[in-house]
Amino acid sequence: MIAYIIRRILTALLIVWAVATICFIILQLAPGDPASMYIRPEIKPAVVENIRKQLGFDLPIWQQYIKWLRGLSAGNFGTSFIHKQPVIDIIANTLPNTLRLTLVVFCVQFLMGIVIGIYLATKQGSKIEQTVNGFLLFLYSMPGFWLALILILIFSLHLGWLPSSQMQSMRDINGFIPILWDQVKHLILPVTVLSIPFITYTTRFIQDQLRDVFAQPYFLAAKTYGFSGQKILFKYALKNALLPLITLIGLYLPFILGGAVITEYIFAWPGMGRITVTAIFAHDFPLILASTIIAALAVVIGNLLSDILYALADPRIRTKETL
Amino acid sequence: MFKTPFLYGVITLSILLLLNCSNNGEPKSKKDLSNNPVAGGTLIIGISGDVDSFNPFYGESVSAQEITHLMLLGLADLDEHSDFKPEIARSWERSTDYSTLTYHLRRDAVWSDGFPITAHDVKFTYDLLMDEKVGSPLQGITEFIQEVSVVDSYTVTFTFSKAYPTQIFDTAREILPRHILKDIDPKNLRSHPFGKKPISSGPFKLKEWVEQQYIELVPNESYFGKKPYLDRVIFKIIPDQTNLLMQLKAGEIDMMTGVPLAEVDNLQANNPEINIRQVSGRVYYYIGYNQKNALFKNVQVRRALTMAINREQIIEGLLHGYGKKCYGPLPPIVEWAYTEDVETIAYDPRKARRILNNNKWIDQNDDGLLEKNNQPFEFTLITPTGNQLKSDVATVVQSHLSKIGIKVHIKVLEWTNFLKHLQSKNFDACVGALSTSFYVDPTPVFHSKSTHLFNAISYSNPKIDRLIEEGRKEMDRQKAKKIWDRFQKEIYGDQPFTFLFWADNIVAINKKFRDVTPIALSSVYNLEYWHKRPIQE
Repeated sequence: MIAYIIRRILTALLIVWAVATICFIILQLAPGDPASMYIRPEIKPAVVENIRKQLGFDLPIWQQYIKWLRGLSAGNFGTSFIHKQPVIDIIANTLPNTLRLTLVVFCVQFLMGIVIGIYLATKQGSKIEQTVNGFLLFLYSMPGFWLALILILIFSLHLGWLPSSQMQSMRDINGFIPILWDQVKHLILPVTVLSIPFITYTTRFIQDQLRDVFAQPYFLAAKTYGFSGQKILFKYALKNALLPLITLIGLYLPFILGGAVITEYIFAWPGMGRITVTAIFAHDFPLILASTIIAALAVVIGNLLSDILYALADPRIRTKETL
Repeated sequence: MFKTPFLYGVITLSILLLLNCSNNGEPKSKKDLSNNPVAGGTLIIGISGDVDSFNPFYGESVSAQEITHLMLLGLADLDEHSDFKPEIARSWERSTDYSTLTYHLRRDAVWSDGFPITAHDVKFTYDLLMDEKVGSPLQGITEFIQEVSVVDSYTVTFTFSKAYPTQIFDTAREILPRHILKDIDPKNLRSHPFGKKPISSGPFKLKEWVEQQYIELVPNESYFGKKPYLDRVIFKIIPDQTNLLMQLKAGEIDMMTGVPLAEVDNLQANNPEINIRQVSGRVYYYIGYNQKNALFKNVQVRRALTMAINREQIIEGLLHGYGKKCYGPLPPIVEWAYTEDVETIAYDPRKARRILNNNKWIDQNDDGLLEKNNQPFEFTLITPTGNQLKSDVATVVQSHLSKIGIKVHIKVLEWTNFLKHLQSKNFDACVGALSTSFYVDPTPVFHSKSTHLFNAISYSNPKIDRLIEEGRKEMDRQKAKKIWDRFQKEIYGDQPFTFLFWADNIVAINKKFRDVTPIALSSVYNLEYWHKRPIQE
């Protein structure tokens, strides 16, 4: 098992390196560099040339690559051109903001998704199942930006209940409870917008899994033995139905670290998604590369974690090789 | 089936209607007592992007520059007429041959940490800017500065390599504190913490900057000039335009700049508590004709093209009336040099077609297009992505020109690709927009020797070259004005561009704030004089 994990980690690192390198090359091949933002009549070409030189863009690509890789191996992602501060500081400031949003979304959607999913699976074929599923599909089909604007329109502009942007109020608030409440209020709208598609997805997923289980011979057998419905559901059916959720957790990890661009943009949430998009438009190479590496790490770690958890949770999956 | 835009439209509309019915006409019985300024109050300004740096050497965005100037002053500053007024300097004088400029500094000016602001700070700032390791886009202003010398603690002299009229522009930039930055390596100035936590020499100082969230300024008690009336000024960062507008309507923010032009009338009609200010823009839009293309070599043809484009309709239709006609590259905000006294080319498609006919562009085969030597009059108009106004302009121009028998193909290019086309001069015509400074220098765009990508159309006119050179040398403003008048007449007559319009910047601000003066120079100009109206229930 340990050898397996080590091998998987090494492969993961290799993948991250490959992704970063490819990204580096693509960025270099694309036209323009950070100095292209200085194209204005009052800035003389010689000045722009000097800026390019000071930022190191006059060097050949391979030299820039080695320089960057050397920095990276020392944990230095470089300095952002637009933010004019070390990339690592920006990530350290931004990642917690994204986590605050996405972890809440993650928990909310899992809780609600599982509860609703189980409930609907037991009501299979009923009116209520059809109505709720139809409604969820309706919400799922709505584009996030539109839903976000409508929610702002209702809850911020007209009712004035909830703030429509930022992570906290700009007033001085004292005391633990008021501060917490202030932050929760700011979370409600973006979390709602982000959770809805995930809730629908998880709900559907659980229903499908349970339906499969319900059709299994052991389930019928348990029923014929006369076990109560609840006991079968919670003791036998759920255990098997929830197992594939582990894979789902792994798949959600990139979202958790990467943030959500449009929602962050509309709600002025200072997260990774927004930072990354601004960086892309400004050709801010060090920041783009850093977010790419984080995204790659998230995918790789997500997959790795779910594989390992799976192996731990389900003895049948542990092959000889993994043992 | 839920994805149809129609359904969203219906739902949005019904929600809007419902909400409007339930939440209208709240009577406001608050009475305005007087217009006498009272101290206190918070002003919240919504801005769409965060500031990159408060270091004036690097701050790139408009908000960065405007907010920085509330905290860091220069020796002199522009006023609302684009003339210089004293700031840290009390007065200045030039030598008779214009080779030196001496500033006399105020003796009561101090940094917000208590250190005096002296001539040493001025010298330090300019010496640093001249160091190429600093890599600042401002560096060009030091081109003709030979030396900065400290005469005494409150007198500083700039020596120039040549006489030129914009010496004050180049020497009046924001001053940096020597006592904080003197030991740094110029290479590291870009990422120095000063850019995030500056000290202040101006009316306001930074209280807090929560990145990507808000910037809070408070009055700087040690400022030598007028103390601000407002207690706090907050710049709230909201990237989404729609949300910005909603927060303005909901009163979550008090002010925003750059209101989308399509929204202005609506905002004014439905929100009586909001004042709309129309600020003259500094950016002009144009169609540039590549002179390397044989189609555009003839001035008659260029004039005919302009004549066929209905610029008034563009201002009405695309800018909703919030723009001015453009008569050349000199901005109306530089009042002393600007003139509208040019031989204007009015919209007249028939006359345009006649001129083209006289130039042997005739529809020979009755296909509706003009031809000459069996070649149709057609060209490609390039425009960059990401600027809706430019794309719209391209479409309107295409339709106007088609009416006189000219076929225009529109090609929308990604920004860097667009720049590449301009740089390699590989295009027929382009939709462009140029931002102008507060001084007059058309060199990069219209001088034949400009190696800049801004003369992408390879414009070359010896008369214009001479006028630019003379104007850039003339120290006497009266004489310079005459030169620039001739320049504007000549360039407008020659039509290397079809000059389209100056788009206004619309500032919306809640009426509870008085004596607000957003101008082209800064949307928070003279912020220390802005105040809240006293309100009694």
